[in-house]
Order: sequence, then structure tokens, then C-alpha cells
Amino acid sequence: MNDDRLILEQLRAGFASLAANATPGSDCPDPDEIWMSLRGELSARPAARIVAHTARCHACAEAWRLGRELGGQPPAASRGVATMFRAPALGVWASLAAAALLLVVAGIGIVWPPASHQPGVTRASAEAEIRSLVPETAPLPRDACLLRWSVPAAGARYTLRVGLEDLTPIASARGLEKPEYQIPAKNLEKAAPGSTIVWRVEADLPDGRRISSQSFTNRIE
Amino acid sequence: MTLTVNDQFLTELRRRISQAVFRVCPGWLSSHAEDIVQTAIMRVLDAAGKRGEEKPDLSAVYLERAAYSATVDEIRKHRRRRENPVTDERSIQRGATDRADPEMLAASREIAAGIGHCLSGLPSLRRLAVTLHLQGHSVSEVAAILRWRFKRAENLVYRGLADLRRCLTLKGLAR
Repeated sequence: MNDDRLILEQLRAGFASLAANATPGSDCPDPDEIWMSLRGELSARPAARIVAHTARCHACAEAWRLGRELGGQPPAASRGVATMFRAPALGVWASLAAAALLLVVAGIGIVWPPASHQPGVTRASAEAEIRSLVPETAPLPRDACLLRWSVPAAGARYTLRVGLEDLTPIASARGLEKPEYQIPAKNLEKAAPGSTIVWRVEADLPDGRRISSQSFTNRIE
Repeated sequence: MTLTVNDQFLTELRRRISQAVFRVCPGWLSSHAEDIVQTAIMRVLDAAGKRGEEKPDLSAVYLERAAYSATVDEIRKHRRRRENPVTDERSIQRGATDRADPEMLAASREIAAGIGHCLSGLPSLRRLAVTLHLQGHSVSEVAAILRWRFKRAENLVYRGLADLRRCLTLKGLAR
């Protein structure tokens, strides 16, 4: 991670950490308004009003990050307009983890690179990403239900959550060093034959970032 | 036109909304995930009924929005009540505490508070630009959200970050 990027991540982590004890107020905008705003669907004035609110209301700032994580993006992003810096896919909860880690690493302060740098604006680099390596076509055997995923960066550690489609938890694991996990057969007793599991991986990267995968689905035999 | 949905449709609606909720629902709220899904389903069906649609829109964006709104409402409800005894962020903070001494943690909190204070002191347009950039948005996304030209967004992000730097430096939180 270069200096600019590290500084920006520290600032972002610090800002995200302010939500830890935030309580929403009576003047908080409706979640639909936040969603529309972050998707670029509001005109300039109401959008500015919502963003200005999130600058001072850390609970709504958290809601904004949640929406961004879920896929709320302004159309410019999806059109592939040139970006100066694209953030890693930090979820709202992952942001808080990053907040704790980066600020602890920072310790006594944020160290900017030598003057004349324009802080926080660097060319986009390759994005770390987690992809499922489990084919969706064939159902997974109950006695060998192995979930595997791509490695976003060497030395990453993983947290895995697995549930049924109705959100019944099936398994979870933390601190995995290998990009795979076999669901114990007994955990699948709740799953009816042919049912679908939904699973998601979060990775703690050696550079202090935490990234999340999208939700993957697979059928159980 | 009357809303007519069969079991198969409801099952599919539920599956898609559950997936969206699964993606955003924080761990400390997972025991309420089922309630959130139900709320989102009811809102989708109500909205379709009010619009006189025969069937609700099953597009991903629409259902994600419903799941998002229901999740945020539930989070706000819990935060207002302070029901959450052990939240993810607290356990995350505790995890960090395991590895850091109290002095460093106090410094971290001071930095975070400094960022909040310095941000609030920025000129309004720069504050908007920097807020979105701190939320993870690229310059082009800032421009799209606030309906600005790219160049304007770029200038306001640059200048706002420079202001933020000066403010944090004056507070002794950056060098």
C-alpha cells in the first residue's frame, strides 16, 4: 500500500470508527432517501442535504456505507468513468474493523508523505477480490461439502458465514488460514435435500484492509 | 389490477430478499434477520398493491433497496434502544484492544474525533466532497452523486483533503 492510499485508508477508518457509539436522531433522512442519494438518483440540492447530514450524523454515515456495500452506486461508476481512486470493498462492519486496526497501527498520528503530494488521490490499482471456486452447477455432497474461494492476497485470513436461504445459520468460522472450509455433515442436518446454502467470506489482508465477497449460493444434494 | 402472487412467486421473492439481507445484516442483528426479511417482503407487496401492479418488481436493485431500508430501520431501532449488548464494532474494538496498549487506543480515538471535528470545520462544498471520499467514493462517484462536473469534484476533494490535513496537523494529529 503506498503512502497516499494508507493515509486515505486511515482517514476513512477514523471516520468510520465514529459510528461505533452513534445514535440516530429525529431528523435523520429516510433510508430510501439515503439509498437514492448514493445511487445518484436525487437532484443536486436534496443530494447535498443528505450528504451534509451524513457528515455530522455518524449513524447515517454508517447507513450510507451499508448501502454502498449492498450495491448502491451512482451510475457514473457503473459506466466506467475514469476513477482517480477506487476504494476497496469495505463493508460497514469491515470498515469498523479497519478503523480499529488502522488507527491502532497509526497510533500517535497520521503521517502524510512529503508536501506537494495531493493526498488521497492515486491511480487505481488492481482490486483484491474474493471469488467462489465452487461450481454452482452440481449439488454439493453432504459428507464432503467443501467451500473454496480465490486468494485475494498472500497471507490473508478468512472469516466465513454460511446460512440457509431463510437465514438459518449453518456454520461460521474465523481465522481460517486456507481459502477453504468443509462444512461438518452434522451442520447440514437442518438443510433439506436440494436446499440452497448462502455463504460469504471476509478476508483480513496483511496490509490491514478487510474485504468482503459477495454472497455465493450452492445447492446441497 | 389486483395483486396476485402464488406460493412460487413468494418463495422466489423471499429467497432474493433473504440474500440481500444476508449481505448487509450485521452479526449482532442476525437474530432479527428473519423480522427484517418479513418487513421487506411486506413493503414490497404493499408498494406493488398501491401501484396497482399484478406482481411486484423482482429486479435486484428494487429488492436490494427494500432489504436495505428494512435493515437500516432495524439498526436505528436497536441503536435508539441500545438493545445490542455486544455489537460487532465492540467486539472488533475489543480485538484491537488485545493487541494495543491503552495509550495507543486513546490516541486512536483522539485521531477519529479530530477527523470528525476537522471535517465539520471545512467549507460546505469541500465538506460534501471530502465526506463522500471518506465514505469510499471515487472522485467520479462524488461528481455523480452531487451532480457536479468531474473537474469541480476533483478540485473540491483535493482542496478539502488539504484543509483536513492542515487542521489535523494543527491539532498535532498528523505530521
